[in-house]
Amino acid sequence: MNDRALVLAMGKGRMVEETLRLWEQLGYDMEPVREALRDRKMIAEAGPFRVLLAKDADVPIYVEQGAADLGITGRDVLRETGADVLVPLLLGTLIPSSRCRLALISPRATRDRNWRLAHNLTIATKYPNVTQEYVDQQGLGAQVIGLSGNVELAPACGMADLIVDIVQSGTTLRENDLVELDTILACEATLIVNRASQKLRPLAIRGLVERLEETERHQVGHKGSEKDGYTV
Amino acid sequence: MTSSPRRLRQLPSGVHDLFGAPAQQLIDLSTRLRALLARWAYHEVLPPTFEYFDTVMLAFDADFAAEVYRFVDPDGHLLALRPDLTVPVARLVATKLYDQPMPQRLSYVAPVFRFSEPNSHRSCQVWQAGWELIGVASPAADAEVVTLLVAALEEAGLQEFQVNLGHMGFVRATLADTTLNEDARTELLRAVDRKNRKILAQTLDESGVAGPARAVLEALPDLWGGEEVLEKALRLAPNLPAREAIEHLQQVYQLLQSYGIAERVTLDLGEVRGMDYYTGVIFELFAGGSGFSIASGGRYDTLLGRFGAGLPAIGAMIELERVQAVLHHLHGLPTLAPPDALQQQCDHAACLQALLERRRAGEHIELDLHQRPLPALRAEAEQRHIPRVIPCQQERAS
Repeated sequence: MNDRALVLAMGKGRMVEETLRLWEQLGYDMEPVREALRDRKMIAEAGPFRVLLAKDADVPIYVEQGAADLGITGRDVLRETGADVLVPLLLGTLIPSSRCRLALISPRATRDRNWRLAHNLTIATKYPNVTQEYVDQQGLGAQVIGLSGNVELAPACGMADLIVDIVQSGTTLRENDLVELDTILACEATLIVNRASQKLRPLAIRGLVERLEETERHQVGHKGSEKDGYTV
Repeated sequence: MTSSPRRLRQLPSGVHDLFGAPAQQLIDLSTRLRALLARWAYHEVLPPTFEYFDTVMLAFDADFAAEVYRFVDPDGHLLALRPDLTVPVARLVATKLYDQPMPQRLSYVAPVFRFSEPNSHRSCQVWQAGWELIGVASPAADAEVVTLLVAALEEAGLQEFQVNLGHMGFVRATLADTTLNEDARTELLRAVDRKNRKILAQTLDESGVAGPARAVLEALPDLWGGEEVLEKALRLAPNLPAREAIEHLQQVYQLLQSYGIAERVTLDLGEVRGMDYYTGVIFELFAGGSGFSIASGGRYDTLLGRFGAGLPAIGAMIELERVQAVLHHLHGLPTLAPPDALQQQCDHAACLQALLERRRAGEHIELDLHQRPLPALRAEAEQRHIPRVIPCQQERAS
């Protein structure tokens, strides 16, 4: 039962190129995956892996349900899905472009408003679950509206007072006259593993984790990455 | 707001209808497991579907309440659909069977109910087959329950599976040696649970855990494998209770070797998640084709005490629909067996009484109700793989 290929779920979105380069750095031939992406195929056989090419937001679901043994996903997505998976590694060092933050964002004009005193705020976001949790934690009187993209539009057209979204460089915010009020979650890519796979394929998975750890050590010398200030 | 007709045709999230071959498969599975449990001298119990909410919550942390279906009876009492069957059985024994000869061996096949958010993809009604061995705390009792689990999965038709066996006492005793507060302990166990060595090390740094306790916690993710794991754990054990937990596990493992099932068992001390009431050995069972554990259990020596009778106990349960998922993965979807014969419809007493007689004798016979002539019946039988057509005796005579 233990000789089949490890099934790896990967998002086709933002981090795909850097993730492929990381696997190549470890010596795996990812050409079949590039080919699959070009041909719009969803499954590729690449070395020891069967790679599932999924929507970014779905990667944790494939892993939680056991359709994939492991996956690479952003911490924002992981938290939003609430998937019950193992998180043996944070990959911010190995996939630097994955570093970003989930922030509470306001139009510049209303940045100094006391949001806690407002009682019928509307917050638009692609992350309704994380946002609701934040709203509850902060005691805000807010309704959360889930959108599937271009969240900046919501305050611009008056549908929402605030948004919760990913911020990387801040360019998009400046372009839309928006400012960050608070960081909700520091994000980076993570390696996630299905709980049953961890038990049934411990050697294969540990080998992979160790190789990634080793690559990370080479990359940062011996200083290690800074404490990230959160739990997985 | 009135319910729309569409809503009335839907089911609440987390429940589903079982029908056709999968329903038959679940029932067949239950029947085989019940027969097996009877051979192991377990007696079946049928606890009620609901009881007092407070009774149920005696066994769980307050957080668990979010998963419990609650409702109020006409007298205003808060009731709960049973979220598991171990607690009702523990209550039953502690209140009614406590002075009977021990051990009590009890079993059940029934659904339990746990609420989970609609987007969590989890079933809210879960069919379980389980058993509890109450009144004996020895390694022999533990070994019996684990061996029965292996026998049960073999009976269910699984060939390749793996039992991960650990002991709650090892980590508990190790943590008792530290001065961690509740929050730090939770964060630490979360890092251990999610197998993240780096965050675990950082958390240990921050909470100032050092010495032998730290060595154990850092080793936990790698403390799995064969017998040698227990040797290693013994060397690491920071205090007597931790050592006793491992020695107990060694005795259980020796018995599993004697039963001839040790090959199925991976010793695994790194599993820190489990029901709130477990105190001793814990185990989970995994098989290819399921992304989830398909069976689990453990020792819970303090649970019956909460109901007034301080009896030790251990139990296990199998999630039947997860076993079915593995069987589907191995053999494809099940099909309903066709009847042994299709009988032609008629109103002659001799034919109808012969039909009853055949059924009494154990044959599975379907009576046609469309008044079809024999050629049509034969075509139907062939299409549905029914081996035989029984024609009307008068028609045959004519």
